[in-house]
Amino acid sequence: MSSLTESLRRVMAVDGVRAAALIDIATGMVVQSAGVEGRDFPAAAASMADEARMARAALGPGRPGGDLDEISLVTDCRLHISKVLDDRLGEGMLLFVDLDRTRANIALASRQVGRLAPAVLA
Amino acid sequence: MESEEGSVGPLREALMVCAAAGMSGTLRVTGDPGGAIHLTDGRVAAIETPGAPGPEVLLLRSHRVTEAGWDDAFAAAATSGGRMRAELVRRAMVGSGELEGLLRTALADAMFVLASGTVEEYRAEPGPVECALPLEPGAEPDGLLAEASRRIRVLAALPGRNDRGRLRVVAMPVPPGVRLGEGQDEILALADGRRSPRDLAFALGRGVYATMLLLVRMQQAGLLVPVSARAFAAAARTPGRTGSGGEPQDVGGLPQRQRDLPAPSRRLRAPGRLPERLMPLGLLRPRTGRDVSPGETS
Amino acid sequence: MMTEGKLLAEMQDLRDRITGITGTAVASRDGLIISEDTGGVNADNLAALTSAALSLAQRLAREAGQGTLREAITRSSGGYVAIYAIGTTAVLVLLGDEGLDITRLHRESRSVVDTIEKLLA
Repeated sequence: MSSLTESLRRVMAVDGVRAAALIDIATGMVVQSAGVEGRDFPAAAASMADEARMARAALGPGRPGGDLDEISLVTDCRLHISKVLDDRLGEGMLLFVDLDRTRANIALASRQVGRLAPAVLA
Repeated sequence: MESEEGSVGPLREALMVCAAAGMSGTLRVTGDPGGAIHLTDGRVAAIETPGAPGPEVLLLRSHRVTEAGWDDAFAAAATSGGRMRAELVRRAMVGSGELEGLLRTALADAMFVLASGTVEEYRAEPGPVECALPLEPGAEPDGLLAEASRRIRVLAALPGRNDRGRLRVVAMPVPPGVRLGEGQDEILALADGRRSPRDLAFALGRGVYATMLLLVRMQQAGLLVPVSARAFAAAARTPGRTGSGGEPQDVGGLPQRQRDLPAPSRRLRAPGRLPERLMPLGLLRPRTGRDVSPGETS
Repeated sequence: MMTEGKLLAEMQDLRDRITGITGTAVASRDGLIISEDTGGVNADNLAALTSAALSLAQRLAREAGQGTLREAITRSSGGYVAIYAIGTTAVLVLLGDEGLDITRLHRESRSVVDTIEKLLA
């Protein structure tokens, strides 16, 4: 019984979510995924991990205002959110979610994902 | 058909046979570093190899879990017949999802290390498997091998040398205004020119691949230099850290053995000086008369 | 001079050959350093302790009627210390981290001990 599978299943149940994945920031590895299509995802995931690391480095350690929380990428029909999960091991994990902008209420979907995120590593 | 990276081919061959048979047991891999792949119903539950830190080292060396906490959980699991994983989570020492993430990344790291090394032979040993933190259900061998291949390709595509596994690096002075993050300060403290990426990974409680990537970034930032005979000799002449003189040159192609490194300080003791702290122990009686110097038989 | 260089070279080679060895030292039986490559561990203390530990281990083996001591290993949360008698006059100590390749160590220890014994002879 994998708790990560279960967590991603809950994220997938949110209306508007097409795919979800857990990405290890230090290595770019896809630790778990759901609904992901295409063989390019591992490379894309590694890029996302690099982006998160670079964003963190650009922000600098111990910044007023807090650490990196989320990176969003918007296209005309998709919203990709990568939420940084609070992880005391290594460099942390990203909860990547692929949202369909053509479905209703992306803002709501995004909030629901935000509420589910802290429980993923718990 | 594309040729596979490193030793992925032989590993895939062996693991596919085990997977097809739904084997539970251990696949022993002889090679460098070699190791043992523990399987449950054809899926990978754990990998032990001298080449990569396992879950226990990752948790303890990173100080995510204390030694005392680990020992308590271990003892409790042993007496109750339960699982170490459940005990660690129950005692809130680590989150369930977090631990699963750790087990999965540790497996990927170990498989990467096996695949990057040499495989001479393998031997399947069906039977019960004893390990403290198995991944249950196990990981698909396919996925682990694909990830190992990806990592090998990423490293090969990075600029610079491709013998990174053997690379020793030494710390440079930190340029003013540079902020250190992501464990870089720990690496600088440990980078003494003796430690390979694998050694650093063990010392830090991080993955070998993650450590190698971090080392590449730190080299690019000028925080570390690869050890070469000339660079190290220059360092030995200059008090304190290297870098205050000319640029240490990276002599392309790190020597396979470190014979050409200058000898670390060796002290041949003057005869007659027995360390005084031994006296109270009463285990060694001070020699009277002459002492044996090296090379002599007494 | 030649012997010392060769001894150190052998010790450094050992560290490269067996995964997980972090340091080595060769000491005399009365606790004095002959050659060290310990990477920061206090070699004098190590030499003194190792020599005492070897003596104790050999006495234990004799007491237990178990013949000649081959190897004495301490295993701790942070690694291993392995001790070998070199003839009757010296001792080899190997330091290793948690990932020490014990299997390989067992396979090679005999020949390592022989090589060092010849170098010291």
